[in-house]
Amino acid sequence: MDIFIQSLIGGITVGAIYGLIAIGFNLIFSTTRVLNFAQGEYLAAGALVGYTMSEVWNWSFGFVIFGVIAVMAVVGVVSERLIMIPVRRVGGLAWILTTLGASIVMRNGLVVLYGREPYRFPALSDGDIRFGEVVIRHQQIWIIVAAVVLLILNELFARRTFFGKAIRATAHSYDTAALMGIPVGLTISISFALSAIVTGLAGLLIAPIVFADANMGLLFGLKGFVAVIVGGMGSARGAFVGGMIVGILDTFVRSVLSDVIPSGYGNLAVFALLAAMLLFRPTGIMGQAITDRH
Amino acid sequence: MTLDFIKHNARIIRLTSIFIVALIVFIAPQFLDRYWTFFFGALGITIILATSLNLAIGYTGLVSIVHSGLYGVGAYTVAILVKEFGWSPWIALSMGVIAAAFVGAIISLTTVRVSHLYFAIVTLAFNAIIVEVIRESRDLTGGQIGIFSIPRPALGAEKLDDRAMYYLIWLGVLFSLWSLHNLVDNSRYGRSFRALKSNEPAAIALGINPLGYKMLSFSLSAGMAGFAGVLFAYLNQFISPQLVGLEFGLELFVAVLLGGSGTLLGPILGVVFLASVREFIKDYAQYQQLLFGSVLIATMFLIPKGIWGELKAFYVKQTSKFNPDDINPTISDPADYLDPATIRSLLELDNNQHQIETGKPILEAQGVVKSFGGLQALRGVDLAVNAGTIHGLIGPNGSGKSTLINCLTSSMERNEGSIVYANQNTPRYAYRVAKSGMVRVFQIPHLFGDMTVKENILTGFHGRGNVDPISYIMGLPYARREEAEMQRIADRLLEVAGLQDKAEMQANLLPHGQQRLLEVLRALTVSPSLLILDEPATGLVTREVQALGHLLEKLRDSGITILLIEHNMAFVMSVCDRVTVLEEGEKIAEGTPTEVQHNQRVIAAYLGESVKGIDIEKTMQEAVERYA
Repeated sequence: MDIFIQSLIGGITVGAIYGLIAIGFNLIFSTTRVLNFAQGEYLAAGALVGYTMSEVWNWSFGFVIFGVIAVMAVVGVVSERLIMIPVRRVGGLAWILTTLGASIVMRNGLVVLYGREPYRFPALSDGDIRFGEVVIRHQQIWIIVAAVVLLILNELFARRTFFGKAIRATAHSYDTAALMGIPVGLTISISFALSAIVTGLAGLLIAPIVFADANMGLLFGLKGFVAVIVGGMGSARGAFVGGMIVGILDTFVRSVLSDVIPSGYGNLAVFALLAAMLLFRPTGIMGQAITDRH
Repeated sequence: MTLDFIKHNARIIRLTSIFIVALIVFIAPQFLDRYWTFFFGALGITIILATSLNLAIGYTGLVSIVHSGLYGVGAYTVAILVKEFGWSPWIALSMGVIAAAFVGAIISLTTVRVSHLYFAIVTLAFNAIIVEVIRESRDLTGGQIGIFSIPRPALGAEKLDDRAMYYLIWLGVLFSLWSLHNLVDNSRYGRSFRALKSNEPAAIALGINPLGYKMLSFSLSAGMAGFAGVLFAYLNQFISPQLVGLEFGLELFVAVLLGGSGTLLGPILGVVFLASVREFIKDYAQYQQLLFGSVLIATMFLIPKGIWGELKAFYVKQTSKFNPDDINPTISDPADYLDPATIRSLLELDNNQHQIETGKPILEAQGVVKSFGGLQALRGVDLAVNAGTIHGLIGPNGSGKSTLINCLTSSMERNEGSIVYANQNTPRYAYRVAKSGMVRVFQIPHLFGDMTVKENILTGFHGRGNVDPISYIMGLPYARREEAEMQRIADRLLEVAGLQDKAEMQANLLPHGQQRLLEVLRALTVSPSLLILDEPATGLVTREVQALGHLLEKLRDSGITILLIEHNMAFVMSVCDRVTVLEEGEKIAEGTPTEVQHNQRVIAAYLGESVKGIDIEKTMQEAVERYA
């Protein structure tokens, strides 16, 4: 039972991270119909930049947060230019090449800057809470709280602010949005910036739990992507729930079921979930069908 | 000047260059050391793999990220069979191909549920699954370490050396390209793949089974990917999970798209381009990946259409014979050419099993109800179309005409009601409707725009003939004969319709009127007994409308029943034998054109209650006379 609760907590923690990545995917997909292969790299960039600010430059945590937000906003906008200029020129499948190119450049840019070795930076507060055998680390609580706060902020932004509404209008139709006076190009840039910020902050949060390294983005990105599909494209809350499901499933296969299934099959379970979800409920738990834009 | 030369001697140039390239490939190993022999062998394998991916993406529109996984399935199958179970490498080779094709068939089953972007994601998931299975089944696959010292096949007593492998691989390259060419350019199977990619609803309306053809295409493509994997296992004699990884799968993707998908040579250019980039930057090991990514992005900025796409755009621009100004936009009146007997024989109408005696109902719909959420688009519509007539279906915008057509052709599921066609219930799946004898032409032109005029016609012949796809791939004589026969009928049909000079033109470059004519012709190729036309006169000039009217009458005289949805009242009144009027999802009138014209409800529906003062009859009569 203890191991059950323990993995549940672990699953929720990492699930919150997948959920944030999924929100990042969603932000970009909704305005551009592009699945950003570079999404995971935002996470790695957030974690490593956060490391530099916090451990090398000894900034206080509050400054680190703002620093990471600023850097990720720039990363988001620059990657938007790289990815979207060719896509808007030729359309079709160009997005695969450009997002892939962006992901290779970012990942290996990080390798050049940070090398391949893992970095660990200290938790926001060390220590843990114990219930019998169950241990909850403070950082895990921080992650869950921060993720929920980010989810709420994201929802408020989407529903209450001009650019939030502009993103939703752009998601519906470029032409109609443009006719209504919405600056479509700027809206797309903002959606990339926000996506990079949310995912970068997720990197900052998870870094104390796992080691941060330049190549961490690939697997996190893929699983965050599974979370989007499970939760449903176009729904931030769905993305978050999807993240939880993926996180818990992944952790359970590795811990609770480790006697039955070899632990290496955790990833397999996640991808099988993806395939099953696409086949039996392609709209995800809370999403709408992916439609081509008119 | 040079380009004109290329254009006029295209065939000779093509043959000569194939010969020269083949010669170079053949004698090259005499001058290459081991490193380069191996390098070019591996390059050939990547070309086969890219070609297989091209069949899926470029010719069938199935965006696949699982091809590196299928490649791995082929490689691991032979490695395990030969190393663990002691099979002969030659027999294992065929098993590798079959295993990959089988996995491909299973993956393509998912296209029932998902298409386009989702299919890409499904394949991504399958690739991840294949990688994980290979990593975790350590007993069989050696896990992360992989399998090494894989025995090579032997010829006689001698195991193949690197040079022999090189020749085997390039023979494989040649075979792959040749078979792809046979399949996609000169077979009814390939044309069905391309039709599905170009316009799936139109392909389905012609009776092309989307799942069947996609499965066929994807299995063939997967088999070819497996073949590449087998060759790699034998060339390298060592395989590991890295071979299968996502990174490689995406790189292949890049090669195909960058080179030019949907062309035979494009992917080769892409593979060679990427390999050269890698070769040039290999001295900067530390920055290799970074440079690679940068080149990729730079390429997308500089030549966003890909290498082949840009070349082709340049070529077309320079040599374009089909300058829109040169085309004679006036439509030839088919009445001058067509005679019912020719149409009947060309379209094999006499073989049609669904003939109904003239005057008896061929299509009967009763109480058809269709709702979209709270909106009831059809509220129990009855419709009876008599064989050998032109039946008009009219009604204001939003009256449910197109919805009714969608229900009749099973493109939409109806909520209630029965539809009987030629004494049988209509099939549940839209693609079977064409075979039952009913074919529709869409409201908005649904041509296969990137295929030629003749290929559009030929696509409709997919159901004729009985030669299997493998014979087509192998280019066997009876497959070639079947193809030649279809080409002959298509040529004849185009000639009869006065389109023979445009046979090789890309269909979406035709003027609007001829696009509509081509769509009607294409629909006829499936030998229908009922032709459903959804607003065919839209956008046509008066003369073209007249020609269309004559064409419809000729077709009726050839024994084809026509259901005509139309807004152009004068046109409807002049050609139709009977007319049904819909308003807000209900039938409000039916009868001869004259009866309908005088029906007060119809007049009210079209013109509103307030204009009763106007002499509608006279206005309509005048309009009809103008077109008669």
